[in-house]
Amino acid sequence: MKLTRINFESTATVPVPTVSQLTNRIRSVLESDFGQISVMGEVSNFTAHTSGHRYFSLKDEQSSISCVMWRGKAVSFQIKDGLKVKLTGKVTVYPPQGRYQIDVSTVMPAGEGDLYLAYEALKQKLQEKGYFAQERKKILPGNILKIGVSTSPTGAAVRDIISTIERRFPLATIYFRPTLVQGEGSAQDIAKAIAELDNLPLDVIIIGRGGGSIEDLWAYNEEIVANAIFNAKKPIISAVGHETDFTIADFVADLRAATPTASAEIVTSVTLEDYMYHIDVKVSAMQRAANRVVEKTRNLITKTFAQKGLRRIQERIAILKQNLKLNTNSMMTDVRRQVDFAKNGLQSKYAVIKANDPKAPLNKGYALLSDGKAYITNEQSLNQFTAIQIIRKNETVEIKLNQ
Amino acid sequence: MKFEDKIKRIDAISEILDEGNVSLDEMTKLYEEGLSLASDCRKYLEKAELKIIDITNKFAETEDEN
Repeated sequence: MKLTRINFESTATVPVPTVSQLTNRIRSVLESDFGQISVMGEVSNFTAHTSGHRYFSLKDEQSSISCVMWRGKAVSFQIKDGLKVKLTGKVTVYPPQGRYQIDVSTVMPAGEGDLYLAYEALKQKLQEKGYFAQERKKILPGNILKIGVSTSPTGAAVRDIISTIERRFPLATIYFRPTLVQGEGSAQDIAKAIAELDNLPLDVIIIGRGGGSIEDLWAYNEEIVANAIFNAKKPIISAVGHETDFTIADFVADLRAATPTASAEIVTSVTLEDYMYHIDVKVSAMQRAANRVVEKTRNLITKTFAQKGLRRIQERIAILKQNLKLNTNSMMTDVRRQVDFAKNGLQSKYAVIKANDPKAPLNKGYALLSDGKAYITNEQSLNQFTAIQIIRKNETVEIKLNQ
Repeated sequence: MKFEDKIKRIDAISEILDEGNVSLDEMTKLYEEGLSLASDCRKYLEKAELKIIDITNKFAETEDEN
C-alpha cells in the first residue's frame, strides 16, 4: 500500500527515539525548567520504608504529586497523612515508572499551629531522653580566651558579638565559623559548624543568630542541631533570636543567652578592666610590704649604731648582722600582719560592694522581680500582687498577674 | 612569658612578700620583678586587640554538600 510505504520511508529518515531517550529529554526539560522549588500541600500515602527512605504524595483539592525523601534528610517532626507541609526540593523524573516526582530536601509544617505541635513533640521527646537535664550541663571555664562563634557572616548577630567582646575583653580570640542559619540545609550546616568548632581547642562555643519569624529560627528547632549540641564536648551557649524566642537549641545548650550580645557578655564575665584592677590591688600590696620592710630595717640600723660602747666598725657590723638575723622573724610577722590587714580591707570592701549590688546577677542572665517600687523578696508571695515588673539586664517588662 | 603566666607570677610575688620569709635582698629583687611585670601587663592590656580567625576554609576539603 502506498501510505504504508510513505510512513516506512519517513521513519527511516527521522530516527525514532527510544523510551529512555525520550524520558531523558523530558527529565532534562523538567529539571532545568523547575530546578529548586518550594511547594505547599497536604501529605497523603506516607510510607517510611525500612531502608530509611520516605515516600508520600503531596496534594490539594485538584492535584497530587509524588514525593520522595531520601534517608539522609532529617526531619524534626512526625510526617503523617493529612498534615499540611511546606517542602523544598527539586522536580525530577523516575524513569522506571515514567513518573515525575519531587526529590525532597526539607519539610516543615505549614501552619503556625503545626509548627508549634512539631516543636512541642520534639521538645517532649528530647526532654524524655534527658537532653535538657541540668546535671549534664557543662560549666563555663573561669578564664575564657578562645571563643568559637557559629552564626551568619552577614547578620547583625556577628557584629554584635564581635563588638561586645572587643569592648570588654580584646585579649580573646574569636574562631568564627560562617554558618547558614536559615533555609535549606541550614540545620545540617549548624550541626556541622558545632562539630567543627568542637574539635578546635576552644574554651566555649556560641551558636546563634538574630531575630526572625518562627520559620526563620526553625533550624534551631531541628533534631540534628539538638544532637550536635548534646554530643559536643565543649560548653555551648545558644543565642537565638530575641529574649522571647525559645528554641530547642536553647534547652539543650549548656547556657542560653537572651541575645547574641548577651552571649558575648557572658563569655567576657572577666573583663580587661577586671585584670587592670587585679594588677592595681597586687601592686599596692607589694608596695606596702616593701615599705614596711625598708622602714623596719632602717630603724634597726639606726638603733644598732646608736648603741654606746661600739666603737669599732667591724664590731658594729657583726652586731648589726646578728640583730638583723634575730629580728627578721618578728619583723616579718609584723609586716605580714599589716599587709594582710590592708589587703583584706580592700578585698572585703570590694566584695561587699559587689555582693550588695542587686543587679550583679543580671549580667549572668538572671532576672529580678519588682512591684514597681522595690524588689520582691523571698518572704513576699506573688499572690499579693496584680502586676509585677521583671527586670533584666537590658530591659524591664511589666507583667499582669491573673488573680 | 605569656600574659597569664605573668599575672600568675605577680600573684605569687605578692603572696611571697605578704608572707615575708625572705631576706632584704630577695625582697628587693622580687619587688622590682613584680613592678616590672605589672607594668608589662598594663601595657599588654592597653595594646590588646581582638583576634578573629575565620575557620571557613579549614574544613573546605571535607565539604560534601549534595
